Amino acid sequence: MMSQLLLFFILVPAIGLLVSLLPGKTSEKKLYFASLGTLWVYFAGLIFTTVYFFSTGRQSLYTEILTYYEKGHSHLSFDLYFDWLTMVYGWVSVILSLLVVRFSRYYLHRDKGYKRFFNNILFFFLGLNFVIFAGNFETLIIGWEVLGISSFFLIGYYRLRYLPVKNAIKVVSLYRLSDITLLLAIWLCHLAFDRNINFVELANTDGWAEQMAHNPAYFFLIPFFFLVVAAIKSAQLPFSSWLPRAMEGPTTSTAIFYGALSVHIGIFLLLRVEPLWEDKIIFRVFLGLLGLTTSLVATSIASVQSSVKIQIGYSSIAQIGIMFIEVALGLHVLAVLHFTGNAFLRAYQLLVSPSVLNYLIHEQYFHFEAPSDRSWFKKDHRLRSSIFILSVKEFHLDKLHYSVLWMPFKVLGYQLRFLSSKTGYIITGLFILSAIGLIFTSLGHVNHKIDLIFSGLFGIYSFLLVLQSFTERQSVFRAWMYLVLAQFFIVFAAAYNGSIDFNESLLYLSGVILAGGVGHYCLHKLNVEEPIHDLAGHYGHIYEHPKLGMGFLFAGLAIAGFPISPTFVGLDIVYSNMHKGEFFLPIIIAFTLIFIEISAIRLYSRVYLGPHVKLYHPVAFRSS
Amino acid sequence: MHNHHAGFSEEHTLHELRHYLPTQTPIKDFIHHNTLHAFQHIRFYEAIFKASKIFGYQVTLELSDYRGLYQNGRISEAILNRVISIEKGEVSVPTWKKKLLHEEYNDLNEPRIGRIRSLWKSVCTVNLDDRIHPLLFRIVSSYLDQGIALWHFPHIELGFLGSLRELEKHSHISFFSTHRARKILLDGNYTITGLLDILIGKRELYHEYLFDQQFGHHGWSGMVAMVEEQPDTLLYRKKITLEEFIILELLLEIDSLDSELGSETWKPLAHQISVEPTDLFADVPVSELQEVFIMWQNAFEWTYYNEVLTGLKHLRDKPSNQPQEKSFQAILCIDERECSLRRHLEMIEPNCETMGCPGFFGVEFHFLAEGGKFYEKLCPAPVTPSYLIKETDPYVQHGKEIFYQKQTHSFFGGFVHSVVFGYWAGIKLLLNLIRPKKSPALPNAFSRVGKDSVLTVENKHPEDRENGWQIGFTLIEMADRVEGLLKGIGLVKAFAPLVYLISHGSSTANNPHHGAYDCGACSGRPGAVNARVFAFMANHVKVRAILAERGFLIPPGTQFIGGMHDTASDLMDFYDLNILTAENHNRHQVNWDQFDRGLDLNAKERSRRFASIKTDADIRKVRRAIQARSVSLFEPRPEFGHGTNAMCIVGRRSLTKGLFLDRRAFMNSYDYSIDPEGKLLLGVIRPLPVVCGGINLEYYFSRVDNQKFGAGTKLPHHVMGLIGVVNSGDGDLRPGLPLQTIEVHDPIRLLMVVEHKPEVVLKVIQSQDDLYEWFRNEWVHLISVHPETGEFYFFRNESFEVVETLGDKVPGVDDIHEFLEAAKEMETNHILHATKENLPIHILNHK
Repeated sequence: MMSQLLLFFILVPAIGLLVSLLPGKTSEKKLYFASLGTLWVYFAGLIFTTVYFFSTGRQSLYTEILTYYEKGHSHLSFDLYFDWLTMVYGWVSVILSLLVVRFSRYYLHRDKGYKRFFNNILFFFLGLNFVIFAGNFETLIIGWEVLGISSFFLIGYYRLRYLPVKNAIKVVSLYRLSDITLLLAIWLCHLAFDRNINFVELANTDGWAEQMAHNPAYFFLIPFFFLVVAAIKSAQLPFSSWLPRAMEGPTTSTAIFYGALSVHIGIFLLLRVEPLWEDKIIFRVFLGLLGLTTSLVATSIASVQSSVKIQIGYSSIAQIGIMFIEVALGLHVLAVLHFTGNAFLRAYQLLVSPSVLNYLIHEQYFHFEAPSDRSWFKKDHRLRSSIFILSVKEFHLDKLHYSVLWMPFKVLGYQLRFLSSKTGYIITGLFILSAIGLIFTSLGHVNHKIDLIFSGLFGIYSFLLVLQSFTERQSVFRAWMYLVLAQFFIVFAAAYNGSIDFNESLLYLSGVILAGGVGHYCLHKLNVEEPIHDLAGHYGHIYEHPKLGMGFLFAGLAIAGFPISPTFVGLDIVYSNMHKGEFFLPIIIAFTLIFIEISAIRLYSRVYLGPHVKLYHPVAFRSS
Repeated sequence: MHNHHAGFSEEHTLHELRHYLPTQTPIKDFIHHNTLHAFQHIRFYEAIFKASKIFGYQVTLELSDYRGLYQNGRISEAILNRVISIEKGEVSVPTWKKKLLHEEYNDLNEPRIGRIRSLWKSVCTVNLDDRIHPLLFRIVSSYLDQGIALWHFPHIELGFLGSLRELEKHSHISFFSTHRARKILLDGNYTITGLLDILIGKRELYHEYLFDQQFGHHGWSGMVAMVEEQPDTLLYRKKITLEEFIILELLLEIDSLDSELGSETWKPLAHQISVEPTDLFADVPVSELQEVFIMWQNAFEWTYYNEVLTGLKHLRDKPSNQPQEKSFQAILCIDERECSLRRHLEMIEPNCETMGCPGFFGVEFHFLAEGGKFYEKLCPAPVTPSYLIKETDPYVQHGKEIFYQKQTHSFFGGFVHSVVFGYWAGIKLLLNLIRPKKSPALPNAFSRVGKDSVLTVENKHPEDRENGWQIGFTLIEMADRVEGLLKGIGLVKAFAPLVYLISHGSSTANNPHHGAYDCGACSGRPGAVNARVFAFMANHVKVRAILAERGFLIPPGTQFIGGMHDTASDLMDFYDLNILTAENHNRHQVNWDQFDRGLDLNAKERSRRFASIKTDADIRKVRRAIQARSVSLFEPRPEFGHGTNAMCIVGRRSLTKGLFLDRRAFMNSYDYSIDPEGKLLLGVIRPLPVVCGGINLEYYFSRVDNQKFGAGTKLPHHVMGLIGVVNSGDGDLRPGLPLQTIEVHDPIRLLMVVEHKPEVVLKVIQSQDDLYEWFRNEWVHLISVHPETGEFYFFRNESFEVVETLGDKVPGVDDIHEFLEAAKEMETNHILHATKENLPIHILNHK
């Protein structure tokens, strides 16, 4: 009974978000009180639930709110869960959010994005609650994606400057990688345990390791995938360099998200899935070593930073590294204590970071002593010089992401440019024809060899299409069309593989078609007024066309299967119906999904964000 | 004159770059200056349009904004007609007016800068900015860092490139990713020209290329150039030159191209594509759109100037009564923020007299605080003092704040701090939100000098020198300064028993730009020491004796007291009260109360612009709220600094007493009657264009283009190396003023009004070229008020001509409280809304 009420913690932020969309852009008071009210109501609920939790002997609460798909072993539902971990994260989140919302009331006064800011705070808060109250992986991943997108908004908050937009894409690309890795981890769990598991089972049943042990692939891959997901969100090696780049929004949002909440969510995930890895010594050692290495590297990067905020960012990463060690050692209480303390400390330090100038200058005025660099750099300390340079260069981490994660796909995309030629169109046409033809001839014939081959081919083709979109430099319309087509091919592939039936395909594609249409309209309408010659730079058209921009953004999110579109459910279905032993298709689709979102966001930023191309009003320099 | 000769001279180009780059010093000392100082030798409009064409700046409001201002009445029709008829002749008014109001123009600007450098992207598909900027900024910022990093940059005694070379030499890791650039650095055999030969390969292009390159990040380049020129502007000295900085950037360019295009396989740019040099600085042809902008801007300015002149005329016709017996005299800074305080003091105590002069009170010196390790200059930036004032005991212990300590960033320190003190941070934040109060972490203008400390004002022995400066002033030097200042402001007789010298400073929390809010005449620092020093001099018996010999009599009963007004918190304090005689002590008690009531009103007046304060609340409550605001971490606008400044009045107080000028006037006291030939006038006027004009133009430019001239919004600022702010961690330094400071400002040029005969004023301003330049080129407007006829003479085209006011209606204020409470806060900070927050000139009708 009580557990049903957990829905409160999703509904309150959701309603708060909706309410906060109503007031006008300059109705600061209403926007503020909508946010504050939401948080207070939530807070009251949390106090009540906490009391209940303790009074029932810390019995965790679990409820299944809604089952939206059920077929064979697949059971997709929206579940909520409350245990000590949820409680701690809930408390820290709501207290910090309250402080920051209060702080932002006047801090953001008269900012053009006042409304956007508070909407985003609530959107983020909603996503966070999906994560911490999630009762199963399907629910958790909704929150995970919301966190990613709201981060995109908050980092690219100053959307008419180049660097915030560039960095927002950088960060969201990694976040996307984390989302999809999570999706794959969930899929592996589904394969390993033959059903969709929820967290109450996970926490209260033993022997997960034995269940996985029959297949060494699962045994290692599942924890490893979860670790990757956690490491990305918590900016551990080798992903650390996104965090300083996320510090582009107003100081308050930087403080709460990248100093405090968002960045600690990896710890949450590790603790949540602990039963899946707790028995594996090797994994624990690896986890601890990763934390230790990160901590050492981040500390030395922090030590050479001349920017206050970035220094705080790396210090925070270093502490999270230590928390990874604590988690690996099973010191839960310490890890959680450490998390809360670090969250408050870094949020505070970021908020007061502008004061550092005065404080340190004043201190120097009275206590300055020119450092004798002899102490640190004695005659020939090659190692120290090397570490110094490495730290200034952030251990090449930023470059590493680009050259390892994205560059190969760019190169591949360029190699395959011929697909954007006439030949390419013919191939695409043939593929579509064969897909449609095959639907009529062999619908329902599952596991036919030929079906599987086609399924694989369609999967590959969808990936190639999306790479074309990702590397398109000329036509925005073509790039957009590729995204739509790529989704179609995913459905074709899934249909041949038997992971999705006709009605489900329709459900899936309804989202794609609608999004495709809306996106095309928003581009076309803009193109009539402001021709988009190529995609080489940014146009910043949101300055003059905010509505079209918003329309295109929604279309882009929908086409990427964000949980505002039926496509999201479609994807869940596809993944929970994948056959055992089938590895190729799920992975290729995962890659496609990563790039669909990145490409959609890239298109949105190129066309609508960045410094406005029309210089009749103040436009920021590219270097700012 | 620019680069017409073929070939390339490094020296010339470096010189030109230094000239055009921003000249903002590290942010701890924020000195206002004309942002386009490099163009000051040509006329204002010509200069701004030229700068705009070269660098892409927005230099006026947008066309639609001017039209909007006309629609909402901020540009008056009558004035617009007059402006058009002056520029284009009476008959053309209808045609031009139509153009101004309705014609569609192509107002898209295509700047000249960046042309050659962008070829790397279009020809070689290498985005050099993206590749180089983050690392370049990181290196230079780490090198110049004043104390944020825990590990200091090594080998700094070797200079910028020297330290990099030493570091590279002893490292397994390189800043570069390929060999060639590293090798060049290590060999030490490089020149700008040599590197450009590798990169560009056509000498005619080098000058332009370097401009493209350096103006791709004018913030850092400007900072490097300033540190090179004034190394003592950094507390932790670093040797660096613009040349070295450019060389590093060129090396990084070679490195990037090597790594993108294959090592040493690419050809110089000019060998890959045919490209001709252009003259960046060629004249910009006059366009009709420019003329339209000029007329709009003139009309915008004159609509306000006309209001001012109408107000002045009104006073001239109905002169107010001057008090006979003065209860006290208060000399405040010319700063326009003191304009309201003076008005309130005069209202509360009609028998007082207030005066204005630049807030360093004519005493120029370096200052060394007790326990301090650095000298601070306390006088206008262009002045180089040869005196030193030292503070001796008592030593004030300065508090510490654990969350700023470096240990929080170390491995174990971070652990201890987050586990043990993390919650305390949360509680501190909560406390500041609920009840903001002073803490060691927050700037406090009053903490710059101890309240009861002793200053070495008097030089006892000529051998008392330090750092090449004389410690203290001799008696004669003191007498000269006292006489100079008092005569300059016209205080030569009718001394009250107490004369206050009220300096000012600003205590603002969480504000890296706090230096911009302090006293501009004290090089962006609080002026309390200057007030104390001057008071000491003027009270000195021997100084008075010398003055008496010169025929300048200060009654023995008159005592001078130094004080300071905190313009953010509206607190005030006085120094050295122990010297007061018993009588004056009692008087002071009474006066203190008047000051306090004046500050209440001042707080109330300021509160009308603050969303967080209800102006109609109880006045003591408003005052407390203002105080809390100045120490609130979450308040990006503790005050608005010099926002709204628009005029500078040089004359007797009677010229403006009784007018509500809405804190928009710098006011320098000056009495023409004791200086009929204008001998003192030069000394009075001289610093004003630099100080007030500099402030005004900095606000002007930061307002019209807050992105390129200004620092953008404060909200995302990172503090870099304690020397500047950036808007993005990988971004360029942002000189100029932040959005939150300029949003109340109407971008109009300063109107200087001088009360003296036009021929005297003309002679004075023409006596010095650099002074004259300000007026001749119309960077500052000048009006002379003829003291005998009361006519206004406007300075245009190198001569004064009579100017008539249009209309003669001036609204009145009966009750200042109601008036302030009725004023509305702006709807948004768009100029059309923001400008309405600035109230018109009013006549104060109170008794």
